[in-house]
Amino acid sequence: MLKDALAGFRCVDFSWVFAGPYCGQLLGDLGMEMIKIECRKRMDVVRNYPPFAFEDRRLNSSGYWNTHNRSKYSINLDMKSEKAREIITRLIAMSDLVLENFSARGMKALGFDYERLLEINPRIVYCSMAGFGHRGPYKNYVAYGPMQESQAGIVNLTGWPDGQPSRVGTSYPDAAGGVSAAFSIVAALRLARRTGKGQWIDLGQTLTAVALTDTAVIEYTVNGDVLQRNGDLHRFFAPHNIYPCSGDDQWCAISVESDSEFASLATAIGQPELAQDARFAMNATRIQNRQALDELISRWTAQYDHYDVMHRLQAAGVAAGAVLSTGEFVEDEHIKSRGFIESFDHPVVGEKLYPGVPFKMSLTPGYIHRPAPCLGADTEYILKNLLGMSDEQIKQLDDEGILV
Amino acid sequence: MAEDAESSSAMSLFGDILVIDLTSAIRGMHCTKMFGDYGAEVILVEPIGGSPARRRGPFANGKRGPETSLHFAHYNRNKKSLTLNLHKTRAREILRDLVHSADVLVEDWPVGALDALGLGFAELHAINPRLVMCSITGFGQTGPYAGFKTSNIVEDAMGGLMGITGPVDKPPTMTGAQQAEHITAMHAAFATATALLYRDLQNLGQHIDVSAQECVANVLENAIEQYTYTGVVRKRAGSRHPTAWPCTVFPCKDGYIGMCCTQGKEVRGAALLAEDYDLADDPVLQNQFERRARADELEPRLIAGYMKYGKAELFHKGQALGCPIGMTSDARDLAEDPHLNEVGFFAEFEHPVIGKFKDIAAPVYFTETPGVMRSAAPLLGQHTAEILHSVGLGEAELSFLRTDGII
Repeated sequence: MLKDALAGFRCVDFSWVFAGPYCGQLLGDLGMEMIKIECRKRMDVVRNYPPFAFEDRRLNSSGYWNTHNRSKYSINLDMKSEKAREIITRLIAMSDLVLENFSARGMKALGFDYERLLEINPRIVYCSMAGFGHRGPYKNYVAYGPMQESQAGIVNLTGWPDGQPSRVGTSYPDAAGGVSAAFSIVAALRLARRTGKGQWIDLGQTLTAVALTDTAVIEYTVNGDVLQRNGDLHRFFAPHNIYPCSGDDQWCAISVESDSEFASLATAIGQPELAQDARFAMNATRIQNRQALDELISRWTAQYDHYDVMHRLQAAGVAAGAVLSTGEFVEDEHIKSRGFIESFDHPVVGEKLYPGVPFKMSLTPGYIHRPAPCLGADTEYILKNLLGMSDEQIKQLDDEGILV
Repeated sequence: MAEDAESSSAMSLFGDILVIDLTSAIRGMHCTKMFGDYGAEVILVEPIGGSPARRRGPFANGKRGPETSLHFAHYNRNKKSLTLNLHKTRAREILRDLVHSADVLVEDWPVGALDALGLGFAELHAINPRLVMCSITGFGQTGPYAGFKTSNIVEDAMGGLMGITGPVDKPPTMTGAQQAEHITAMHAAFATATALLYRDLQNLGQHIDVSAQECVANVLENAIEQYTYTGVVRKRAGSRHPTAWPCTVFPCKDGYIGMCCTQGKEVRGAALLAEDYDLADDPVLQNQFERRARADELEPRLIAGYMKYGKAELFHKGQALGCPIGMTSDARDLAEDPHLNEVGFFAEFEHPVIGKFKDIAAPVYFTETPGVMRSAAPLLGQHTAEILHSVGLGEAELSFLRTDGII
């Protein structure tokens, strides 16, 4: 059996949409017991987000939900009821972590703000992921990943100088906030094991995204410069761009950071004399003559398939990468040899492929432990096995409408 | 050094942790920065001529030099600098001595380069079985692309993110501010911190192999599943979210705003903000699929309203209407933002050459162990003597090492 890095740790997980669930996905794949508190009356909106395995968009068939909620358990509880709150209280008392990504008002409304969590379990690590955190003037502002990306300054730096700024093609601050939360959580759990002390991790997703703006802030505070978006160009290196390849809308990225790499590129494209050409011999002149250089390179790349361009240039020691579609990525020989894409069976959608764990740990590799649970799939298991309830007690709760 | 570590361990997440830092790209430096920001002692091992990161711009006041790179300064605060020419045998012995007492080693060298110097995981693990070693590369330690050269744009491309980013009428677009490298660094930090927790419990370190290509692909939200569930390959589609609407970037009077509405009441807020009261009451707004399908027709109405106001005004007014809206901030907006300034998001650093400046501090607030900014980035070799004394080398040996070009 594979070893789990986070075996023996348990999380009561109130999170939904993308940021919190992505954090939980990382923790669950490394073996933490993730107990997702759900409710039919107020379902995670992503359970209704595409792609769906079936055209009728039936429940439990969303690939979006299923990928980020694998390796978790689901219990259905009507969180508004007193009995449900008692169950949640008992679960928190026997857990190491409480995770949520509601607005800053959310947990108080549920009756589980940090003060209450501490009463229940003084060793608890609590991670909140409100859009702007729980402190400061914007703490009650509503915020989702795609607009946090704007607010955080990443949108303004993405896209073309002659056009409007662009969102990254994914809800990026959610993912970045999710992994940032996962890092913070394991660090706090480690300290809690050493000292017996838990704490509150107050993570503001917008803030964790601002922290990824490279040197934008320091350039402004030291030099007074306001960094501008620059398409696919690099302000300090040339060539650095994506180049058209044969076929429709096919491209290959190429980036060269030194004169010797440029000499290799020049040779690989059959024009070794470019390395001696005064226009291109040095990085500074290559930047000045970027357009002419990009045209020369494009004429060469346009003859070949994007994979072909990549392999020819990498063989010559030049950083090059085909712009892969999601389909090409899944079928890619390297990705296959790494075993990054994992296949698993799900009771409703059947066998499907999913991205696995994006790093390999030699002792505790991490893997998809179980398919994403159907809504409430583990209610009985949790009530029985964790809380020791009898069939009669569970039936009574069900009859009272608590387990919806 | 030992005293520093002990005095800070009571109040920081990683006060007991010593990190040896063999990184020079963002995907490595940002990872070790996350440990340094929360109290770890991070020893940046630089070649005699300095980390290549010291040669990358931007530079303070445009003056190029080993101590003026803002790129280096941003990613290496709270770290110590040790110069060590690892191509010399004696230098490698010194590194092995450091590994004896280290907890973590992070490196972003090409695959096999450290093994070739006798500094691979097997060798280091034999010296210190509790060591957690994290290797960060473009494509991982195994597989046909393991030896490939990499850069942020290559990782954006190969991880599938570039193909779905940018306007339809432009080539695929790179993420701003090097996101492929940042997202990789953060996954590496998570895996490393997890391995430390496991080491505490099981008394055994391990090796972590981080692939930037996979880290990028892991954050595509639902694009890979779109392919594996339905066979559809997503194309870039500008800023519009594939599902939610309005969830995009809109122009306004002095720039742009970002908006992301997922619920009917939020969409109503977006219409009210545009002062389009007919639209606000239109039942079409209450169905997520219908309103997304009519985006082309409805967006101009919203834009007409937003063009009358500036981004900051729309941001605060929209939030008051319950609309999830942000302005498209530039560096000045960020540095001067009242919220960020009030919650301690920035810190003042004092650097002997660059001077005093404000930069981003540790972004996540921990109630018991908040991040602590202890120092600006180190001067080249600033801590060489101090660190070598701590492993028992005397002045006489240090001067030998200097003469021999080892430190």
